[in-house]
Amino acid sequence: MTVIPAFLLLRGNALRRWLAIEFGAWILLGALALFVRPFQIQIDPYLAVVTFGVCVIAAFFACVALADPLDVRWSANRAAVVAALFYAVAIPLMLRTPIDGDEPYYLLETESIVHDRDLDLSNQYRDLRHSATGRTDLGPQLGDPVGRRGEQYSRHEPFLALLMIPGYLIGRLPGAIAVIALFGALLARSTVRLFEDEGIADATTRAIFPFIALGPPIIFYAARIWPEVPAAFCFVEAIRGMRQRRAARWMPALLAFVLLKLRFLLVAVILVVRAFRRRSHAAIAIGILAVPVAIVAFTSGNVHRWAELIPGSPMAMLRGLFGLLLDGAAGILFQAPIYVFAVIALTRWRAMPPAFRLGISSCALYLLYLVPRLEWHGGWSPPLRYIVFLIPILGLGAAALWERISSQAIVACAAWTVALVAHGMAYPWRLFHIQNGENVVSETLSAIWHSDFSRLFPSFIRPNFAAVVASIATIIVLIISLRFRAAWLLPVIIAIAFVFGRRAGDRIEFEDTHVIHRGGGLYPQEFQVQRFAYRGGWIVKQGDSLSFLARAGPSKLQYSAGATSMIQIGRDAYVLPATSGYGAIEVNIPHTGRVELRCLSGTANLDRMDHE
Amino acid sequence: MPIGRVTPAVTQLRGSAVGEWLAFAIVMAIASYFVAPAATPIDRALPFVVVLISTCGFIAQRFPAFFQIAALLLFAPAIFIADEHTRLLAYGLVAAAAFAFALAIANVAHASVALTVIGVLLLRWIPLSQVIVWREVIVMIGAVVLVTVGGLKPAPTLAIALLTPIFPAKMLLFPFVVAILLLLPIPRLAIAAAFAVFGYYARYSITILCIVLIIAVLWDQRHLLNVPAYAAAIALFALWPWSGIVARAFPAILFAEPPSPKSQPVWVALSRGETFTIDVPRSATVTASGANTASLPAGRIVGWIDGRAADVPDFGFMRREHFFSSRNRPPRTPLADIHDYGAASWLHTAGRIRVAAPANTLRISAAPDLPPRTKLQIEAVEFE
Repeated sequence: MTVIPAFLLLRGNALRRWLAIEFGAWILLGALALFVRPFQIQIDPYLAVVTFGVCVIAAFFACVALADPLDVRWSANRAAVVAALFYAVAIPLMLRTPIDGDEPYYLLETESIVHDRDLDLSNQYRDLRHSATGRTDLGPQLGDPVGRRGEQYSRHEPFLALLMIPGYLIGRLPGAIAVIALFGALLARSTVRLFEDEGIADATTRAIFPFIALGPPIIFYAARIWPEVPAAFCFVEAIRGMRQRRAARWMPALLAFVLLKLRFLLVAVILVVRAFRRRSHAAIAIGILAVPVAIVAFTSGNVHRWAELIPGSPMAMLRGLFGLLLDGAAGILFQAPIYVFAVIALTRWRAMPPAFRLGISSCALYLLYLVPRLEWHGGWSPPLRYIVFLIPILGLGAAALWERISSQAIVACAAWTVALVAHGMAYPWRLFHIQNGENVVSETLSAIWHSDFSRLFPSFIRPNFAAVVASIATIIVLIISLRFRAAWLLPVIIAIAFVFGRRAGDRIEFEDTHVIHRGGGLYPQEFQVQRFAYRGGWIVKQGDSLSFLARAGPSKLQYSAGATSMIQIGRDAYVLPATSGYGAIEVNIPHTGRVELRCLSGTANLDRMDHE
Repeated sequence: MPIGRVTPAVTQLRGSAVGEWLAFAIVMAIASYFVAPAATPIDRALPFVVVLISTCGFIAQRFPAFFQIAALLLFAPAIFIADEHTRLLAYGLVAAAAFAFALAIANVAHASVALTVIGVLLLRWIPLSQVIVWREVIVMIGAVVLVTVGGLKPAPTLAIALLTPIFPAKMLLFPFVVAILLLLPIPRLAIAAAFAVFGYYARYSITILCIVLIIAVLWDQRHLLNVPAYAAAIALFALWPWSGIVARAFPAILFAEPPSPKSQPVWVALSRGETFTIDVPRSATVTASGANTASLPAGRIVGWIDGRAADVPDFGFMRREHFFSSRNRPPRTPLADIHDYGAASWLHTAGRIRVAAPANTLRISAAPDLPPRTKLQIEAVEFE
């Protein structure tokens, strides 16, 4: 599996040692496979093999990082080739299920350009059976522009679709994804070059490289059809070009960057301002910005409005900002923990490499507009979608701090990253998580223990108390530069969380995994577009029942019902009057522990129950 | 501390490192007490395992973060894996990885004894409630003697220690015998050949001791087999939650088959000469074992199933109290029915006998020449 990368990156004793380790690892896997049947081990073989592969790759990069520098052949080009090899393996793993989210729409645009020489997707929607998307359930997305003659355009910028044409012509869907993977490899090369330019030591680059190139979120976007990875490549090249004052590098990179997604204009504006030195520069800059705006406006219709230029309220900003940092389903802390150190690097601004400062400062406007949006978390996509382009710069910040980061924290991040990659590679559909305030880990725990573990994970999608605590703790840690030992703190946190997680909580969200549902249905439906804009709930009708852990005493049940209905909790029956919107009634929980809620008549959407 | 460097605190301030590791082990043990489920003795021994891994980290002197996070990783199966066997194997893998890494990076001259002691504790002292302390202490001393006096590496030493029977008490001397053999001025190959011949003719429980002895004496001459040998050793070490199975039921366990969901329990015990019939539609697989047959020689026919000889062993001859004195050998296709945990685990040695196309009725009879109190047990019948 890592034989070719080993020959590319290692030599001498390190190469021999690694080949022996890999050989041994395969024997170990074979031996463990023999134990599965007699010991009746219940494990998904696919997950086991993928996890083994990810562990071997992690061990390989540990060897590369720790080997004698004389035994390592390290260069940006070699790193890019190795990344490309792993991306090539990731493509079939990601294609285990049909492409999802915005992906099929980009591919439909490519197909439309190739077959019809236009961007009208009407005929593509009519004939989905012949599409390489593998999806026959596609329809126009919410807000897609419609032409004067009924043309059905996509809201997505067509530049990515254009880039994918050669790949699509060669290999249809896998070929199109290969184009993205190629950009991923180029991104790996540019990232290493950037680190070299900024004076990061080779040993540090080797150590952090797998976190960036083969860790989340890059690995998930490099083998799927999203503009994020090509945009990240363009962004890094623009930063490098500006740092080197090579207009021939940053101008086309910035042009492509904005063409990929119009929202990147907010980044490009600041970058261009930073590049101002003469009036002629300003003119060129305005031209650079005007061209993609005109192209995108012309090709993608009127999906953007001037009103979008007004950022949201301060509370919305705080919510999005801390959400991007701490949210269990969509935050850096849980989805790409190594970049937490980049956030810490922000507090040491002056000591950071100039490219880091340039990259981060150029994103200020972008982040200002991103964080107050309801969709700050990326919507229906793998996590951290909106900041993927920034990841190499965040990686640079983490690399600048690398020597000062405790090895415990690095190993803990590595273990968590391995788990994230193995999980995402084995079950790519789980990269898309409905925005209900839960996350894969909390759902798994809740399903196993039938207790509400989701309340322990900070959620800014459905804000909870843990989010407040985590935000305050983060501010304290950042302000006083608190240092702690991860390996000492984590077991204590885990033990306390595990003990309290199995107890009844103050708030029951009825749609959550810990609630045992006997009948009824999720509200809104599972794949509701912009689900995060709704108050979730569970619809019960006569005969349905729910079972959950709750605390004894008075509680307030929030619900909505079109007509009067009746429920039973314990021995008491409660009438739920009809509501317009949401209403609430006082209920009494007879004892702390498992409680049964039964719908006796009518239909009601049960939102949540708060202990008072 | 940058990754890849020796911890200054450990290399220069050993006293301080002792305190740090001790505090870490205590914190982890307390945390794991609250995290571990109470389902099995292995789960309950999690604080003990955590302390052992912490000790590995202290002894290894390098990469302390790896061992600390490995100890923390033991929490993951406890929290996330509900299936018992899968959870125990996950514990096994994490602990084996930490132990193997400690062996790989530690200064062998100083760390062998300590790591051997840790290995023996992991393999033989769980479940703690079933440890017979004085016997296990002698085995431990034997293992230390093997490493220090015999000059054996920790991996083969652990194999010897794992397989050493503690019943009868005289077998506690096995590691010391191996140490003496290693010191004798006789070519290792000659010792191995002699024990190969002896093991071929000996009963099963002695044969496996001969095999492990041969592995031990030839360990330093494996050359090309270095990688496979260590990989296999790690794989077997990962089974420490069932170390008794590895000691007494290996490799028979690899051929074991789980009970079929179509299997119908019968639970009939036939004394000598007794017969039992059962109606069967087509071919059937009978799960049978002996009771009080541990002293019968291997291959002894204890009954007949539709004309097929049933040479099944005693159902519990792999219990550590009976194993060495038993003359049985495991059936060709044993039932994958594992009992108990850790060093006390044993394989229920019922054999699965397939009877093709019986004439509507399956006739099962116990051999007429069975000794008194011995019985042929028909545990289940699986209809196809």
